[in-house]
Amino acid sequence: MPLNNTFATNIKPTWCPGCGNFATWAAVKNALNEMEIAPNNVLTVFDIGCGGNGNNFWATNIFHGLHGRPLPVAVGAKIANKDLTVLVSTGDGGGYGEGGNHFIHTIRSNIQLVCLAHNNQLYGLTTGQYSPSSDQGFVSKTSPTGVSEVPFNPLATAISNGGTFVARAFSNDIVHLTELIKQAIQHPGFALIDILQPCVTFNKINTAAWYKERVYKLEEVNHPVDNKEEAWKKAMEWGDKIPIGLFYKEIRPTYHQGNKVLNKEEALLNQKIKVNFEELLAEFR
Amino acid sequence: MSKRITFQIAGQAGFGIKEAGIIMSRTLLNQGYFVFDYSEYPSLVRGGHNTYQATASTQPLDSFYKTIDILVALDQTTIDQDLHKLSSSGVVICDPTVCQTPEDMAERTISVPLQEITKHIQAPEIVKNTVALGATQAVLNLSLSYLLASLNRSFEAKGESILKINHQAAQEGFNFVKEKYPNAKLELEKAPSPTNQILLTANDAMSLATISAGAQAYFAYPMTPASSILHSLAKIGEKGGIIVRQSEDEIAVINNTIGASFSGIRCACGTSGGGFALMVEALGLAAITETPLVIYEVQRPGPATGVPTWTGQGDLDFVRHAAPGDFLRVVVAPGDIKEAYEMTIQAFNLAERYQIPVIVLTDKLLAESRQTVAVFDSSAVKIDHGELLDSFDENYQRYLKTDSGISPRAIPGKGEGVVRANSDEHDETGFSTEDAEVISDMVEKRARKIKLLREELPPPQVFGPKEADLTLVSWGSTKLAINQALKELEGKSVNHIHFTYVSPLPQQTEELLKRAKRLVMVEGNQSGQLTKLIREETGILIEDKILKYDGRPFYPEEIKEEVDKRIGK
Repeated sequence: MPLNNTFATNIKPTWCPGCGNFATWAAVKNALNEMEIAPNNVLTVFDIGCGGNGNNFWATNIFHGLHGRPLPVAVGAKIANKDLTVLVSTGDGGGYGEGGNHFIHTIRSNIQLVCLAHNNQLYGLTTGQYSPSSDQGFVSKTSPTGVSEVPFNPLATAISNGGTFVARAFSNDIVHLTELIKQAIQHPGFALIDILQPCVTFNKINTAAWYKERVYKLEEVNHPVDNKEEAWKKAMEWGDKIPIGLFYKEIRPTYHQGNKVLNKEEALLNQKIKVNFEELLAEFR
Repeated sequence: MSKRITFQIAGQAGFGIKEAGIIMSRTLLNQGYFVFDYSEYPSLVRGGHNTYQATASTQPLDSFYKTIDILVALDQTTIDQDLHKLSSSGVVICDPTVCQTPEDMAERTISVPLQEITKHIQAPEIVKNTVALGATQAVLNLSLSYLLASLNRSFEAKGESILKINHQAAQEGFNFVKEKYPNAKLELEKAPSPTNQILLTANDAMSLATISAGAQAYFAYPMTPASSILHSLAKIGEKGGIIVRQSEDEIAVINNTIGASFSGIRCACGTSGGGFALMVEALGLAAITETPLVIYEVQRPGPATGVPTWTGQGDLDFVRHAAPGDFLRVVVAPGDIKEAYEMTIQAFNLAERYQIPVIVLTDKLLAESRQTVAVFDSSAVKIDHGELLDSFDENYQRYLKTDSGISPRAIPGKGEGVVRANSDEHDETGFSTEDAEVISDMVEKRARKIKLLREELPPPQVFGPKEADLTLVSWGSTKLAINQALKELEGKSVNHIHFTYVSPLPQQTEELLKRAKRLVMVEGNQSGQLTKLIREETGILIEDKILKYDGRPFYPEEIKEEVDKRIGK
């Protein structure tokens, strides 16, 4: 089908009416259009979940991978071809739980990727179990007496593991999210946006109204984005007040910049290996 | 004078056994001998019992021998544990202040004061193994110059003083034996003129193959006995223009490899059985997305942590069946060092041509043993990218149904259209599907690739006479011991059918096996995994099995013994 700037396929989205995924999708489309990035130069790597089902509605290059494993696929792709704009669509289940190890270690590498984590504080597609980001006491099919664990803190994890672009958004504010996505795509390094998204079908607690009451923009309280300690403090803030916006930004060498081969002008797939085979054989003579 | 000799040096981890081994192997290689070496070591950094043995011959070798002719014992444990392997005319070289040999060994014990000599020349204690190597050259009646040259190769980089001290040590050991034991000779026949040979392990060969095949990235998490591939390629790394990444875990490793392959480069990943177990879900991902994937699986005994530094052939069942659902994969099990090089290159071609996972299955024996082979000719390498498109438009369908089952493959960013890969079952474009007909069609499309694949896979190899009373059957590294044993069984009515392509089984299998008069399976696992596979695919039941699952390789001596038992001496 013809590609155009709608970034949409002919397939009708199957998300529930009112799902936060519609808003996130709109924000991504807006960002790519405003930056004039062509769909065939974008690779979106999807996790499994409601967000992951978006693979059928988005018109970019697509890799719909395994649950919890979009980050390592994206890393491999970016290593092969740094000229692709690589986006990762994951969630609080795949991104923070199943794929927790990849989350931590990919951040440490500072490889240039945009990680969009659709965070609805439960597992949607599998019908409503709690997730790593569910609040304590959250009652669900698999936590009938309420979740006992403390919620996973993706922003604090990112900050403490060398995250160079750490942000949170609320999907209802599409303009704000669009702006963050643009900054994330432009950021030279790993960019995390934890996107608070209401799940209208299964999450009756953390609704749009619930978030709306609590979120406030860091830009509006003069939060300094180059201060790790301040970022950490804000990352630990959750409850009656939930900060959104850019928590922390830093420029440090990316994974590619730290490697002579990847740092070349030409993407790896356009390079030729230059090994002297005779030299290698000499060791075995 | 003999055509063949087996040497062993052994002691604790930390005694420099490994390097002494390389030095000795190289010494023999550079004089023109054929060499096959083999090491045993425990999963320790210090202490324990490390052995290195090498068989040198004036004729090509398929395997080392268990029976030792010269045993260099650097500690008493070596005497206690390895003396039983000594041949009836074999000798022991050891320091009398460290080791005691039994009374009846007095005549065949060459006492060399290794510690004293080492101290005398003011060398660090580890250099005593060089003294022992010098003594060994004297016993073998070889010129010391080759050992000295080999020491140069190993220690050049370490500086003039280290080199000098090692030369001294070798000379002292050599002189001591010439002087004090002038009649202790286990003379090796002069080697044929050195030919263009190299001496390397299967891991070395597979590292070279990775380069020759044009791979631009290698991903791995360290796991014995696959790690040295990662180390070798990491050394080549940036200078050679390849990316070598040690990812956080094996799941990341295989997903990195799939992402990179999807995005347009040849790449591979490597591990052992336990690491492969973690990669299993992604194996299915590669299959359903039809992403070319090459995995090196270097076996050790399992299950679980198993016996990390020893050998076995227990993963055949597993790699053949791993991951949910039906899908095509190739499992190739090289039988020697040359095959490790050639078949690994071929693995990349098969992976791209059929857009499937290909597993190169070796084991510790191959991975860490050195065999002399003719030097590899990298210019003879053929690269086949299969149906790789260099352009495509917006109508491109990644999973186009074709008669062969193979769809033309596009690389994201290299065309006007987009490429969709989907771990969900999907339609021709790559959109998720739950439609009954579409699902069936896709399953069948992927499955029918086997038709072309089967036609191009080579038949199993037959060694020995075409007709025989007894036929040994094997796969992978067992080739080595059997083919070496066949050399000692010349004139006897025994031959050998060897499988390198084990999944799918070559289509000539049934006919070949049916022709045999009496079949005996030889494999390194408890349940007879190739035996079961052959029964499953051909109905042929091989009842007579020689199975080994103690972490040790097969030895040519034991194969010969088993054959003699069955067809008489």
